Amino acid sequence: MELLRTEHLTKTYGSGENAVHALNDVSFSIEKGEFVAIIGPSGSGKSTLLHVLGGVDKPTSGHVYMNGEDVYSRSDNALAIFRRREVGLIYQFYNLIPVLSVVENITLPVLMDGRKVNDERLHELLRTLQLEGREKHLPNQLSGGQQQRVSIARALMNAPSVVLADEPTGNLDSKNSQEIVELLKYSNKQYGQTLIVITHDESIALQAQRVIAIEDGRITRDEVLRK
Amino acid sequence: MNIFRSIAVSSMRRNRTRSIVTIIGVILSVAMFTAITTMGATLLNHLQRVAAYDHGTYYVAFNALPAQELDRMRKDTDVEMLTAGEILGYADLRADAALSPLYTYVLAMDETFPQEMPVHLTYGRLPQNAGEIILPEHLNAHLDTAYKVGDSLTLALGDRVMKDGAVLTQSDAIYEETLRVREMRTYSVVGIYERPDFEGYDDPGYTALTVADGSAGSGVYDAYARTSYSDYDRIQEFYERYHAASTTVNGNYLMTQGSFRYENYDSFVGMFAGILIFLIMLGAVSLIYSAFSISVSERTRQFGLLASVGATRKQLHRTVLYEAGVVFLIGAPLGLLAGVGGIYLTLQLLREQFLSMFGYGITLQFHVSAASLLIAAAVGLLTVLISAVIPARRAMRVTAIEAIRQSRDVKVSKRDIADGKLAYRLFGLPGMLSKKYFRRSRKKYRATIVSLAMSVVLFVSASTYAMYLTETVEVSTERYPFDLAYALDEITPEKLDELTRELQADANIDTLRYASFASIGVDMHDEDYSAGFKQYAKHALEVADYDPRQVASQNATIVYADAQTFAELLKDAGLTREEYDKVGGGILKAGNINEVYYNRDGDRRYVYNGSVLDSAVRELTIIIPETPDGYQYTHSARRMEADGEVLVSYYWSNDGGEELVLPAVTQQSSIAGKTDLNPIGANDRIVLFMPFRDAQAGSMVQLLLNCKDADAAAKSLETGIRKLGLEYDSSAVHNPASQKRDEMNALTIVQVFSYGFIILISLICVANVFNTVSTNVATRRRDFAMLRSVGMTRGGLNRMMNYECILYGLRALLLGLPLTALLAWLMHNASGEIYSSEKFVSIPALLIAVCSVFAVVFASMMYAMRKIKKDNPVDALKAENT
Ligand SMILES: Nc1ncnc2c1ncn2[C@@H]1O[C@H](COP(=O)(O)OP(=O)(O)OP(=O)(O)O)[C@@H](O)[C@H]1O
Ligand SMILES: [Mg+2]
Repeated sequence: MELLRTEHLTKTYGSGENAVHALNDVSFSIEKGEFVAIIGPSGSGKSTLLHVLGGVDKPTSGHVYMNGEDVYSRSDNALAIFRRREVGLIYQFYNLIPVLSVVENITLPVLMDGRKVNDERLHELLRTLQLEGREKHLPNQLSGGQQQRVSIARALMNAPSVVLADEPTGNLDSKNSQEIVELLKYSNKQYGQTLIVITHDESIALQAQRVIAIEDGRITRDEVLRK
Repeated sequence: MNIFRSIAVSSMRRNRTRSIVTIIGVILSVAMFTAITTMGATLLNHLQRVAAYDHGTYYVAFNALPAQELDRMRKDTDVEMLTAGEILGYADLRADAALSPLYTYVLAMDETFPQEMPVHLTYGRLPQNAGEIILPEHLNAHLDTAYKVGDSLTLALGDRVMKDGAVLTQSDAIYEETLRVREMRTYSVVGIYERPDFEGYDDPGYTALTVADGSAGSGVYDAYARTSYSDYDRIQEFYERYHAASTTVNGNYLMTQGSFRYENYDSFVGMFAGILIFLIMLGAVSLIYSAFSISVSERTRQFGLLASVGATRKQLHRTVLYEAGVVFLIGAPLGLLAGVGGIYLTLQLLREQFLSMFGYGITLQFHVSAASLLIAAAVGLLTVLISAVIPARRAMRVTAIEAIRQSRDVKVSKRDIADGKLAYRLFGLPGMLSKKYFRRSRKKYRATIVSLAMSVVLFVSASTYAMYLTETVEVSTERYPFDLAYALDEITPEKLDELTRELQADANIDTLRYASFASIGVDMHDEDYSAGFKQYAKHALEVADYDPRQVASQNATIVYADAQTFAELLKDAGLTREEYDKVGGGILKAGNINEVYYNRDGDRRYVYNGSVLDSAVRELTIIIPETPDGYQYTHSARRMEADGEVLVSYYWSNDGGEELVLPAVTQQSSIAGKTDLNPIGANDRIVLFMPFRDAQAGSMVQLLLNCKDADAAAKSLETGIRKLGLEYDSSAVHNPASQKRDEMNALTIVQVFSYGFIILISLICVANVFNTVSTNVATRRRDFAMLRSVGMTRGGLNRMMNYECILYGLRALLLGLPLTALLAWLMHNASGEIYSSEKFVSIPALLIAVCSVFAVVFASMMYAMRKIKKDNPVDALKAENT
């Protein structure tokens, strides 16, 4: 069953001679529960694509459909609710709220939705992401890798239907990296989540079911590795 | 351009709003400093001109200076100005040699004399040749027939010589001298001038002025010199070089040149300006300081990075100073201009008021001096430097890594843990979030809250102060039911009749009343006192520690009112003439006492506003003082003497010091009726009105006039009195209308300046709040984007910010209101001594302040959020990453 579909997505920065086409006519579709890796050289438009998919960056033209519905035709409010319920976005640059502690940052989307925090899930995430004992710390008291793990926990906390991860292991050693990938894969299987991961790490890309390669804002390769 | 300068400039550009607000802050504060210094310069200049007008521009006067000394002085390089009048001599204007002489003292002025010296014509013109003369007003006043312009006057001029041949000067009083006539001169009177200030009050001759014709006179001069320095010691050294009969220093003029005879002279004006400047500096520093401290703390990260790639502290410090310099250079000239312009306009608008306040012949003129501008600019620069250097110093103390992580700005405190629960329940997640922001980055909020609180304090207490002032003026001037009063000494009933008939017919006078006043005592018995007064007396007298028996007697006034006024009072009391004539006595007006007092421990404050007398009293035991000549009645009291308690009256001798105690004689006086009217304006606690015919013969009569034009009425009064052959004494005129007008004008000036000050200071505070709020929002732009990217709706964002605004406002009031109350309490206590206002603070001002706090915060927030709300989340997120 198709979950996500994009049609002729373009994102252009600037105009005239200085125009940068971060995305240039990108169309593809992704099945529910699929694990997709996006690869490409630096500056090729990977993060831009992920942001557009996550409903946080409006494309210059084209559409994103989620469950058949046009994401960017939603009202502002509906878009906000879509972001907190359906999408778990892990940013390349963590983007934690500086005045909130680790636990507060992680539970933010749940609280925002007005729901009760699932303590079991919270502790499971804290444990798996090795953040135990750090619950009350503020982001500026954490290492880069720890901050990245907090942002991963935040994305997973709400059990969203799509997890969008922008180099989630960029700051981690290979052992830790593998553990994170395992966590994401587990979540993907357990909850039937769709998982889209940007990575420079060959070994991670090879664990995906499908690899999309981007260069200069265009899809240059779209390869299904396994079903 | 140096890399650090370009960093400073680019950071100012990027934070345009903040830079502009900071510059506005500098403009406002420099404008206020300039306003104060310009006002000071204007007032000083005014005082100088008034002093020059009244006293002349010389520093030293030399009386009877020989010609060769004068020549020597002319060559003295220390002398900046020198004017002289040759002494032509004295002439006795009394025809009768048996009377003591009435001298006129004739001076032949040199050319500059009329400009440098206080010579002010009231009639005519200045003399132009040696045959013309002007006479002083006070000479005319002592002559039986006054000289007029056009009269001719022949004087036998000569020297006052003692038996031993010594020649007397203006500094010698009249002795047993004879006038040795030197020459006869005939002058034509061309003008009358005001009594000259350079003539001493006890000088023997009234100074008449003519001009020198070059012919030989006495060869002795009165000379007036100004040195190039104004230092007292040096001036003394200067005048000791010359031999004159006497020398006098013109201290009144020297004072306005900044030279005081006594070192410890406290310049009130200077102190006042100092306090104002300090207050404004406080406001200005808090604004500019917070602007810089935000700018710096925002850039701590940047500083950290720069430091980590090798920038020295000095370089970073310079960056901040450079920014301060740019802000000052843009703001200061505009501020100077605005301040000077503001004062100019204010003076134009308040021209009328100032004229009445400084009722001199000299108008207040706008005056700017280079010094006043320099001082204002220097204080402004100091403000900016203080504001820039302190945050910069603080920023430098942070290590590079701390700076990059901003770990000092955001901190968890212990109290946090349970925090936000209530907010969460009340306002949901947005409430909790804003509470957390509030708690954990408290530093950023402090500036906002402090400046809001400060505006509240300044605004409310200044308004309260203005309220006190207004009430005081209103209370002190509403007493008089007449526009003009004149005290007539010893007038016969016939002449009084004639005068009142004359005046009543005069078109300039609307109504005329007259009355005689007698100060009496009233012997009081316990049952005569009202309950409220007894309570007051119990507390007040215990505390004040005077003899409680004094309460046994009260001072009172009998007003012997003219027939018509008395008839009005009878009518008000509900009596006919016949009914009154049967009882006699007086019509009582019991004045309200408005007293503030404290209990014994001084911790409770009472106000008693009521009468001394119990309303049931029908008869009074009055004491008509039998005042011996040269004494004045003060009061009566019971005194313990050998044969028991006796009622005595106390008198003071007029020349002071001596007290006389005589037994008091009492008499019963019935209260025929009561009135609340006060047509005569008597203010005692007990006033008894009686018919004028009962007054003691020969007592002083007060004429009380109602009129539209007090000056015209005074003229009519003068003619009327003169016509009767009586002396008219202008000092016996009391003009409450013009007094009130002067007081109201003074009040208007005070109000304009205090409200101007309040408004400007509030503007600074508003700018400050706007600045901190908007910067705060701007620095959180990324956080807002983040919140939105994890699904916060716009409504949620709004709620969060609203909650934050409420927090700001409440915090500011929590800090500001107690401080305001404290200040108001201090002011109230201070003013309670002289005036018992029941109002504690100005309630309208308080309401305005409270509403404005929230209005300012919400408006600033709305302005700051207007762009942020439209942000595309990712753009905002990326903005700070690069
Ligand atoms: N706000 C912007 N203004 C102008 N150009 C931008 C902006 N944001 C991104 N770009 C450009 O768009 C292109 C795509 O950027 P994007 O962040 O998607 O790259 P990326 O593939 O994620 O690279 P990396 O692997 O280094 O993270 C880049 O060339 C970048 O310079
Ligand atoms: Mg990227």
